[in-house]
Amino acid sequence: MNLNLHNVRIIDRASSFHQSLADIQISEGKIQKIKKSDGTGQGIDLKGMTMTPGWMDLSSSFCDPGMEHKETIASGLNAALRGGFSDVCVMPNTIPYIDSKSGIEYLLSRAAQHVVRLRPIGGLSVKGDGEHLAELLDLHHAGAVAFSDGTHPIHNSELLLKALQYTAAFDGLVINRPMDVHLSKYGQMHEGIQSTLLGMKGIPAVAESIMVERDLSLLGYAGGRIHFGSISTHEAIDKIRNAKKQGLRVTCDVPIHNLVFTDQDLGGFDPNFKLMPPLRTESDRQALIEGLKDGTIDAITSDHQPQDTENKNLEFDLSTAGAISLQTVFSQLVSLGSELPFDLAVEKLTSGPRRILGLDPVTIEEGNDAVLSIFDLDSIWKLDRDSNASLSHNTPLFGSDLRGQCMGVINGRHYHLDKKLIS
Amino acid sequence: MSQLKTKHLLGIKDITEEEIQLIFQTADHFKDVLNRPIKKVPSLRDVTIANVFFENSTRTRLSFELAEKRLSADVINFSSSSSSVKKGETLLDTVNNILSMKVDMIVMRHASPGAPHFLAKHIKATIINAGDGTHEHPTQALLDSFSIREKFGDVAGRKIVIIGDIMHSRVALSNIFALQKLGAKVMVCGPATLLPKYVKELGVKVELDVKKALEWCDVANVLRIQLERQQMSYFPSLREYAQYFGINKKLLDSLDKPITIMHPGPINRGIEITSDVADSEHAIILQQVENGVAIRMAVLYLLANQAPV
Repeated sequence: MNLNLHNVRIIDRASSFHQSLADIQISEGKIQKIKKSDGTGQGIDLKGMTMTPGWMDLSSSFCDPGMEHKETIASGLNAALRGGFSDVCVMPNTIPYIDSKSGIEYLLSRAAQHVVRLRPIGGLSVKGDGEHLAELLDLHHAGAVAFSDGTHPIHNSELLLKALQYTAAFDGLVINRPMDVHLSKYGQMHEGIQSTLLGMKGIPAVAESIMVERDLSLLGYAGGRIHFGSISTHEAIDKIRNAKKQGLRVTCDVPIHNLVFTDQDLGGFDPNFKLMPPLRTESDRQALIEGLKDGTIDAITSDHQPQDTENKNLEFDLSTAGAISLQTVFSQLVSLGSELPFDLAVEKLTSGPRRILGLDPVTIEEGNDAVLSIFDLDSIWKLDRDSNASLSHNTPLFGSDLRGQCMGVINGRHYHLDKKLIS
Repeated sequence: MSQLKTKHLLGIKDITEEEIQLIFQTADHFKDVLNRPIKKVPSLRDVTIANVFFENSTRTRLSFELAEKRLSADVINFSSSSSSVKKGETLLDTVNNILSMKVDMIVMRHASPGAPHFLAKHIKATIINAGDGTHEHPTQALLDSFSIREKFGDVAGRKIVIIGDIMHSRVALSNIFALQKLGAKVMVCGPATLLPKYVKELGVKVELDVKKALEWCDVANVLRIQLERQQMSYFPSLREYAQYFGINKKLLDSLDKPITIMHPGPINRGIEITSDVADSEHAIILQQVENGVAIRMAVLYLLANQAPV
């Protein structure tokens, strides 16, 4: 495979070509040559396009095996591809649960031929029961990049303690979604003035921060590494910021939803805004953006969670939480405008998640592996039945005009470029 | 103003003071009608209304049905004690089936907050919310304010305390919206575990001591303890609740003024209110029920008049 791309703007803070217009030669899966554009470039003209290192998502659910009518590995990876992701970490919440080597092997074999690389997150407990440790070493050797009970918070402190101690031996990573299951029970949305106005049971911010505190205490006691998935409150960010200052090995991420929506969006009882963690207040949203800027938050995730109409298009309290988002993360970031500098957002979707998993960064430099995403910041498109690659359409953005679109992903020897570029 | 601006009555939050006053004026007229020898008017002849109740209800359903019949509407009733989902049919399917039979208006009670709002996005018929979970119960709030207006001449400036389970009460929320729009001062009172943490931000006073609340108010609207809507334990026992938050005659006698007592029903006698209070001359509980029919006639009439029927 040989690709000659020219006139593309590089956005990669770690690269010496950051912010430059460049011409790139790719073959054998590597960046063979890169130089500043001088108008003599050959091959595919990427005028007006932006190139970043390949995006990595830390938290997607693909429903395969077991709920293939909501999403399959193929449809999920296609959604990731159209969203500009070269790598996707998938959560173990499938049927059966991914708590064994064979589960990991199933995921990897199904994804083997795709441009997008699937990186499985192994189940932390047996069948996700939250009580008994899964075979973490075996999962690790089979290819699990981290361990988590995915969308289910780890409630049992003893289990978390053992997981931290056990994985420390091979510098493994435990991912927990901090949420007190009792304080959040029956909760439908963030607890605040908006939940009071809508007559819905709220999930208080303290349900998240209390578990962050517990986990940090356990981390200090046991050692190991913990990553908080889907942080949503300013209280939790403050605690993580302090823990980082004290030198604890802790990282965290924020779902894209919580950066662009707030609980004010729930006024119409649209179940597509029902998410877990819930959409919080505007001041929480501001704190999340601040956390990204000061380095407290290491990554942005899609938190892609497909749901079928039968589970989603219901009365708000009967609807299942979650939204699809792999395909819209880029547009959602563009919609933030100057609130979040684009190159910083790119960092939180490229080197940020890789650092969390202990992987090497994929900088755009000569000689490095060609792991690249190409975007058009100005392209207007609509997420509809034709353009949606996911098998589900549970997103408040379905049917809306969106600005900013992925035009291609290159992942070593595999690549996909939008037809518009090739013609 | 002679017409409502809203197509549906989903909640008091979405309507204006002007609209509330229009409903009251229309209800005044219907209340006169209800006291005539012939209580029926032909206003909604050839309008078909379905009362769709996914939660148990006696008085609200009867009150709506009577209001509809007094207006000469054709009425059908659908009741299901559990949510339709548990029966295997979705809310949308149930309602669409009913609408296929050429129904013009839906009066719905449902256990899910926002269920009528959800429905309004998917169907064309006019919807009247007859209570959606712990969210709103607009016609109850209208009849409550209408009863206060009847007793005092005006709602503005009156001090009303709502006592009891504020957290699980759609009556409380709709009442707060209605009373504030009409210029009354509102206080909520109950055990702290039954008051939403952010209720103060609605602009109401919060009081944890029932005696102090009663000393402050002109009217006490005593709510039913919604045992069926509480998914967990919010207070230690009914005995303790009755003792410290229940309204009894001794408590009222200790005040230096009479207080008007309201209750949306059904009453748990001996728990939130004792019989000697509920049956006293200061209680307007049965007037509330009577006014309910007039208010619902007014709402149905005004909404039907503006809907293309």
